[in-house]
Amino acid sequence: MPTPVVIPRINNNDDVVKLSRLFLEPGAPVKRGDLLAEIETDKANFEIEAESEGFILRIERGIGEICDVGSTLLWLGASVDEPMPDAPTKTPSAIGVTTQTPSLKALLLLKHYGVDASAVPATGDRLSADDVEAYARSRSLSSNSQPQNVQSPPPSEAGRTQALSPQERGMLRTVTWHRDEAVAGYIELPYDPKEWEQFAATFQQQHRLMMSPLLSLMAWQLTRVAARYPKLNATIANQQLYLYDNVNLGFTVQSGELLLMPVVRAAQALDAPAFVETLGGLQRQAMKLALKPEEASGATVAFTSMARWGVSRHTPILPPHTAFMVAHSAPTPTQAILGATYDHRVLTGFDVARALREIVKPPDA
Amino acid sequence: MNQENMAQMIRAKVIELAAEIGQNASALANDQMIPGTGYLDSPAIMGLIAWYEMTFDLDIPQEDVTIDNFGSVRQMVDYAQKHGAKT
Repeated sequence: MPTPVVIPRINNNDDVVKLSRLFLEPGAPVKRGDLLAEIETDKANFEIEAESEGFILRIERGIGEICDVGSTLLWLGASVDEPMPDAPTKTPSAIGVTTQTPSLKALLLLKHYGVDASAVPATGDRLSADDVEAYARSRSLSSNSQPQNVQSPPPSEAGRTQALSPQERGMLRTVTWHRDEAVAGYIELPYDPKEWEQFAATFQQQHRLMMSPLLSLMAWQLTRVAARYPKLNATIANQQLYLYDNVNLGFTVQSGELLLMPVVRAAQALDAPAFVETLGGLQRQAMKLALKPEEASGATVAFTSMARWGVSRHTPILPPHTAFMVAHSAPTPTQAILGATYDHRVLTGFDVARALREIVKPPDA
Repeated sequence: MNQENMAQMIRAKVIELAAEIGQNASALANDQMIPGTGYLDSPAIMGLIAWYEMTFDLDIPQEDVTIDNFGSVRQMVDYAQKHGAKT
């Protein structure tokens, strides 16, 4: 008999959650512990794992849909062709599904969204354009969109699977957000690195620092520019621009083979020495794999460098819910390049070029 | 652990970190200023300090991470002994 997987309660105060990701599609085999979906509230994200093995028979909710705690997310069965119960769920999409002819406008919208009429619940005798629009909104569909975050079938060549580490799963979430949500662009600007090198050397000497603060200071400059131009420190939420109150600077750190991102929170309030000191402390914690959760999340802008590996150009992946990430690279004998990946939903090429032009100059240079 | 053993461990770590970025630091003297040698870049120095904290069970405030405390192998040994390092 099919088993429902229900939406769990994350917080005592939240009776509804948003379905942010689906990792499998109907018909997929499931093992105990497999990731099924990710849900979120204003305060937390939570991954739903399978508590038993089986096959996904039907998914009742769409990505982006607001779901009642305790409602059915999907059904698991012992076999892929197990029959479903007659009245499975109170999910809107399973109620009032019409077999009537859609209106002409509804037909055009069905084609626009790439949706089959039989999947859309009708509120009246006939499937209307409003019904299709409501369905598309509940599933965050765009034109002819494909289901998001659906697991790929294994390759046909022989091989073996290996579970991802927590850090690798984090990276997967990041690149999936970049692919599915952001409309990423990349711009780079050549510059003369001498001014920055001189500024950093003077700063290092003044503060008796062990290591060059060059990258930390450039990241600090980024926070100042982001505070000056708030769209750099923003994202898109519910089809609206979401401007962050604080500039939280994420900075990539390599620890062994792991790539981590400690975050300096409210960086706009820090002067250069305080920023360099705070980031230095977080970098050491990252290298010891001792970051607290709040020190490793919440980036609103980000900075990365591959200069130590001699890389002269790279296009970073945006951390989730950011619109601007600066890419520092190894300078050549004649010039250096500063690049940035950006979310084109939030920023134009002009916004990014203007920001880069200000970041390549040290303060008062 | 005596000072000489501690110095040997730190030198060995510097040589290991330098090798990761293609540098040979085997000639490093205990009194040589590490940042000035070019053997280690900034992330490697950061890695050295993180390793030092874990190895000698020290929790170093960021304001102490200066060239006066950690500039050379000898200074690192002195700091560890002064701050009650455990090994």
